[in-house]
Amino acid sequence: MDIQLKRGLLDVCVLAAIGDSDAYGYQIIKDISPHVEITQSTLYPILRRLEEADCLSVRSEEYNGRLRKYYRVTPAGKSRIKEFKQDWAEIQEIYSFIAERTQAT
Amino acid sequence: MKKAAFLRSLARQLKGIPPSDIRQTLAYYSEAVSDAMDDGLDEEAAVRSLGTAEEIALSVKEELAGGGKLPQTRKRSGFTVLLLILGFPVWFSLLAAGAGILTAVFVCIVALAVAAWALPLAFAAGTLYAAVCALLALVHGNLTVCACFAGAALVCAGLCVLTYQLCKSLPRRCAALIRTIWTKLKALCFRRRNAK
Repeated sequence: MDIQLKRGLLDVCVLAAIGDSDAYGYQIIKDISPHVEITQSTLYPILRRLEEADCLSVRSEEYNGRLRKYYRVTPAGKSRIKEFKQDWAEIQEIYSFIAERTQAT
Repeated sequence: MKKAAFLRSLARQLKGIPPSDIRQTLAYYSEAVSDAMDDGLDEEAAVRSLGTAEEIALSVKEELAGGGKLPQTRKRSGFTVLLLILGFPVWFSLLAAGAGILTAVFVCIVALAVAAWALPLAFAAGTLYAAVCALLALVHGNLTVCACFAGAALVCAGLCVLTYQLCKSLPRRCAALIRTIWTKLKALCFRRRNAK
C-alpha cells in the first residue's frame, strides 16, 4: 500500500483505537494489531505526529514505580475521525470509478 | 538483548537528532519494554518485539525529516560570530538581568514560605504569654483579668493551630510553584530552539 495513504489511515486508526478513554502505547498496539499490522516503530511516529497536531493530549501517570504516558483524543482528534468518515464516501466513489474503468485490464 | 543494552544501542543510532527528541524516544521505548514485560514477556522477548534499534531510529529520523524537524548541522558563519562578540555587552546584560529576576522570584517564593512560619510562632508565644498572665492574675486573686487572659490564650492557641496547618503545606506548594515556573520556562526555551 502507498506509504502516504497508509500513514493517513493509520493516524485515524490510532485515534479510533484510543476512542473515548485514555490509552498507553502498548495497549494501543494490542488493540489494533489483531486487525491491522502495526509495530511500535510504526506507532511511535504516529503518536508524536498526532500529539504535535493537537489531535492527542498526553499525561504521565505513575504505574508500578515508573511513569507511563497516557494518550487521550482531543476535540481536534475527534474532528479528524469525523472528517475521515465523511471523506469515505468520496473515496469509495473514486474507487468505483477506477474499478469500472480498469475492469477490462 | 537486555533492555539497557537496547536503549544504549538506540541512543547511539539516534545521534544527530535534537537531544529532547532522543530523550522522548528513549522514554517511549523504555516504557514499551516495561509494558511488554508486565504483559508476561521476558526481558529479551520484550525487546525483540519492538524490532531493531536501527529500524526504530530510521522511522524516527524519517518522521522528523517529513515534519521538517530533522536538524541541519548549523555552522555559525563568521558574521554571526562577530555579531555575538560585538553584541556581548547587550545579550550578556539581558541574560544576567533575566537570571537575576528569575532568582529573585524564586527567593521571594522561598522567603514567603519561611516568613509564613512567623505567624504560628507569634501565636504560640502569645498563647504562652497570656497563659502566664492568667496564672499570675489568678495568684493575685483578680478573676476578671484572669478570665480575660485565659480567653486571649485560647484565641491565640486556636490561631496558632490554624496557621500551623496552613503553613505545613506551604513549602510543598512553593516547591510545586517553583517547579512549574521552571518547567514552563524550559519548555518555552526548547520549543523556541526546535522551532528554529
